[in-house]
Amino acid sequence: MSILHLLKKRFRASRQKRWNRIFDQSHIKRVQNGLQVLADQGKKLSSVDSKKAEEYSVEVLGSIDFAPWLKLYSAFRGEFLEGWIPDNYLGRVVCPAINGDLKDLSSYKTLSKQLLQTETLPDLVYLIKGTWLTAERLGTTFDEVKSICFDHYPFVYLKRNFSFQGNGILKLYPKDFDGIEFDKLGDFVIQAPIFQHPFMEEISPGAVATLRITTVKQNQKPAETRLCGLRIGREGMNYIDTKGAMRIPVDPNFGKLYPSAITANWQLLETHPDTKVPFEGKTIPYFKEATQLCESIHERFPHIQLIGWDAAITDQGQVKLMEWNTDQPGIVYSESSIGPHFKELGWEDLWKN
Amino acid sequence: MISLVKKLYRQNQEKRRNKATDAYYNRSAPKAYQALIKQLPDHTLTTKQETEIETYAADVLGSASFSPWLKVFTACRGEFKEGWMPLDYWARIVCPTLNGSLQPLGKIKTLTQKFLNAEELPDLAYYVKGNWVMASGEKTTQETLRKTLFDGHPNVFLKQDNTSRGGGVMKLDADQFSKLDFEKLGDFVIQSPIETHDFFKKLSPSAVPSLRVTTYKAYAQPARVVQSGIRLGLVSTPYIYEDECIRIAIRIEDGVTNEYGFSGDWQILKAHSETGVSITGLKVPKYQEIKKRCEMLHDQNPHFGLIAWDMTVDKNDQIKIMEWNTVTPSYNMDEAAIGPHFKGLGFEDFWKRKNPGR
Repeated sequence: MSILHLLKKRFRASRQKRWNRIFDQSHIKRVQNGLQVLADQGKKLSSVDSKKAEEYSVEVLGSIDFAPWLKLYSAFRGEFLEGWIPDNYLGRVVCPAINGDLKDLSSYKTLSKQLLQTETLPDLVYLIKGTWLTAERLGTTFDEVKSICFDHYPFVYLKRNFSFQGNGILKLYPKDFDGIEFDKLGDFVIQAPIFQHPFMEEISPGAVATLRITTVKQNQKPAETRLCGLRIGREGMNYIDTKGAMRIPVDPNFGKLYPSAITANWQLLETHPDTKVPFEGKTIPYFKEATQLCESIHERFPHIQLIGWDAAITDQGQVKLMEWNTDQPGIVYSESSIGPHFKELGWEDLWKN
Repeated sequence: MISLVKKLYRQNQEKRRNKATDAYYNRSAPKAYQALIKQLPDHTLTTKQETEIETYAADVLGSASFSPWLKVFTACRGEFKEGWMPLDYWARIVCPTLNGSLQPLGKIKTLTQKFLNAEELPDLAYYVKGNWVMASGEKTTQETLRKTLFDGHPNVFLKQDNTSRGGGVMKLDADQFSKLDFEKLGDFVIQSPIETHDFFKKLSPSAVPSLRVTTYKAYAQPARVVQSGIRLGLVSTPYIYEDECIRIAIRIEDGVTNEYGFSGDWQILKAHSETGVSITGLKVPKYQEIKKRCEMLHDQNPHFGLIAWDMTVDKNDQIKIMEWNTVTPSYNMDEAAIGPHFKGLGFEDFWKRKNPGR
């Protein structure tokens, strides 16, 4: 091997290491904070579990970098369990490997309905590169857009491409419409509002609760629901955003809620802080319909193996899709509390490729 | 200091990448030039012309490295015309700017129908990550598919994802289909064969000719056709493959073929080199309808600034879409023969943007 070749190899390896370090930074911070908050609630990481997490991370997942999340999961559960997928391993190893070049596709919310071909997405209109289109992808005018939005709905939601975790969403009333410089917002979709089922309204007053259904479709196998969670809001929230929302892990087979909601800051709550409704013993209505819908849409889109679907249950008992996520759908709250969810998929070997 | 080194390193890397891209897209320009001046010796470029072209490339397009195809175009026409679009500038500046991060999607043929939702696309089924899916989206099995696939057709065409210019295409009969090891082929679409309109059959007896229609959609503007040409197959080829074809430019106003075309190696032709059938001054059937349909489909897909459509008309006078191209659809022979096609669209200023091509 020539010196130049060796130097290039070293340089690339060092660059990769740097990228990994940058990628992991926010994860480490979140875990440190989570471990502290959990310890304050009596869920302290034992030194035995800490060691197990480190050993497993190195031996099975190929690097000590993946130990932090395993430690947090262990602290939450009071024991270390084999098969857990650390969030940073999902993001920098699993998703690029199994969702490939298409992993960013779901960031284009203006393409979701076109690609998924489902009537369950409440898309009304799109603005794409200065062109207004209806959900049927017919050209339309600004006046028609107003009519499409407000002839039947008191308000609508605008979601910008590349927005995530609730950022880039605007709740718009007719009075807001004329004052907005739409051209400055980039490409976006406008969606009809969803009026949610009373079950959801009770535990997420105001903001539509988001049922996250994560499906996996392996080569030549049917799509299957692997992980579920319910994101619920606080009184006064217009929509669910990552910071303010609470997550209730959900049994992916039967839709039964975990007895506690978990805040973004890892606080466990047995009742809703505003309505005082308890979570224990509750089962999500129309849960099977929701998972079946996500699985059936995934069946028609086998290009991507891992998809996180955001669904809602309407007051009429219908399942609506709000969006799909193909780049690192969040797993940590459900994975720590009721996981591991992704065993026997071979994901722990993907780092070797 | 470190930041300066990093900056210099990045600039050097960028320079090297650009050089490699230019070399790739310009690789056949010298041969094209030689072939043309052999046929048109009085079109040989003078030193003054060469200097003028290089200056134009540097001043207007940002680099003299964009001059090779401009020289070829000049040799073809006997004079230099402002506004011509060299292929390497097109590939590394224009297409990435217009189509952004979605640019590679046109190569994923198993997704085309999801974008277009057009009945003119002859897709029958897809094989994606080991799964068989019908064009309607329903799951199926290889066995079920084999039984139905050849009911209405003696053969089908298989087109692999991430291929272009006829690469990754197979014509299959039922027997060949049964023997194929699909898992080794990656993802692909199966399309029904198209029996073409007499107009096309006469021009290209064995391979379905491909009518290229390029549409451009500017910000907040309706899409419009900006370039068009036709590729004709050679007698022995079952489908158009790379440069093994005859190309002839089409006037987009009326759909009439130019007064000459080219073989794959830039031989000027007025008739098909094998059949002797005249290829000049012919009016393409249903051309205005095809243009309108391409523009309509582009208007439904405004994420892309530029789309090149491969179209045809079947024996029942129905328009067919063979595929769409969003990556780097080439047009060299048409640009040389009747271009410039893209003048006045502002493409020559794209290189001045902060991150051109990104």
